[in-house]
Amino acid sequence: MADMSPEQVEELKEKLKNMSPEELREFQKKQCIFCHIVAGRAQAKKVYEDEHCIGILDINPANPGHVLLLPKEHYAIMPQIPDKEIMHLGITAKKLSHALLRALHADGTNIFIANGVVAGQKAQHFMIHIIPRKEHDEVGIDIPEKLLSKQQLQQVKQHILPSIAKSLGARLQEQPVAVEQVSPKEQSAVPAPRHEPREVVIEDTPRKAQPKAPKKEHPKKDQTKDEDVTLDDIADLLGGS
Amino acid sequence: MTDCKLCSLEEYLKLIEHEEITYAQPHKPAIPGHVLMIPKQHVAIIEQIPDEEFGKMMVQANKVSMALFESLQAQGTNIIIQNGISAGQKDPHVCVHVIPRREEDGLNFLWVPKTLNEEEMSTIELRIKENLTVQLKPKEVEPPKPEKVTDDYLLKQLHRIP
Repeated sequence: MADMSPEQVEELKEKLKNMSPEELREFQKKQCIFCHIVAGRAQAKKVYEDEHCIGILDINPANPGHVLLLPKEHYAIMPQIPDKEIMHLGITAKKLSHALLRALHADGTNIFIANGVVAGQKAQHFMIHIIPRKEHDEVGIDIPEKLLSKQQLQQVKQHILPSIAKSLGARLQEQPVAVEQVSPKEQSAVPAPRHEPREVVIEDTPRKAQPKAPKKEHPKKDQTKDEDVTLDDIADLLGGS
Repeated sequence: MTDCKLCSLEEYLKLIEHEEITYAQPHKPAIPGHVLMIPKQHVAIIEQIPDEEFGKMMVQANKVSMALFESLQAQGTNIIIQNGISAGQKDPHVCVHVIPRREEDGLNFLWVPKTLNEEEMSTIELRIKENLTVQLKPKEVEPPKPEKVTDDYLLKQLHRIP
């Protein structure tokens, strides 16, 4: 792709736009070196193979014995993969981790997944990294720690908890009052009380035009605080880190 | 375990409990939105977790990852397990880190690649394969033992009947 002229790049972009999802997938597979490895058309040191996945040694390892575990099917990121396959990949990763501990006398292992370029994903084919670790090996997958205030933690919790509960199919333990706040952050004509029984009618305050991002469709909000937590508040937190 | 900070959730803000896993935020996250998945049962390393349960944890980690994509408009996520002190594990209790990522968020988990020659790579390949062959070898099934004929007098009576 790097050798193409600007005109060729434009032509390719146009072609990609008009492709169906199946055609796009086939195109990605043809470009993907890991799909070639799966098909046996490209060389790699395979340490594991079964019907659904293969494990190969990384040629640019974090440590000797660094294994890449790939589904044979081409998936770019984890959310595209069916649960059953993820489960199988997880079980295989655990077995490979055990194998590295024993075969290489490693002191520990990291299991590392990068979804998306910003997370460090380098290839377009989803993979799980299993990295053997030894003391003072300076591999550098250290997770930093930054202190947040309780208020900031609560703000984040309010924002992410409904999505997490929904995604897991879990019930939120607290079933607080869901007084729908139609008005934005600033004072409304009738301020909503903190806790009310659910039967209370939703306040009929006029909706004001707001420049902020639209809220997600969560009928229940954990309103432990009076302020409404918006994406901008979270973005400020993230930008400040 | 009373001393374990992950069992007591000391220094963690609980989000939710679901199917034997507690989801929590560390008081000192890598970034706001950093979620930990902590098995309720105290297990030190992943090798102590049954295969199926571990597989389910990965499925749940993916779901948390998707929730962070959606709720925080994250551009990416990292899922990290630190298995052992050398791997960065701070408390002797398994946990899975799910970390939302954005461009220029100040985080960097990338490593400097090492160079190995062909011989070193081949040796490692062989050692891992050998170990996996042992690990994955199907357990020998003993042939079923023939049932012992019981000395039941009632059966004897039956046999006598012409």
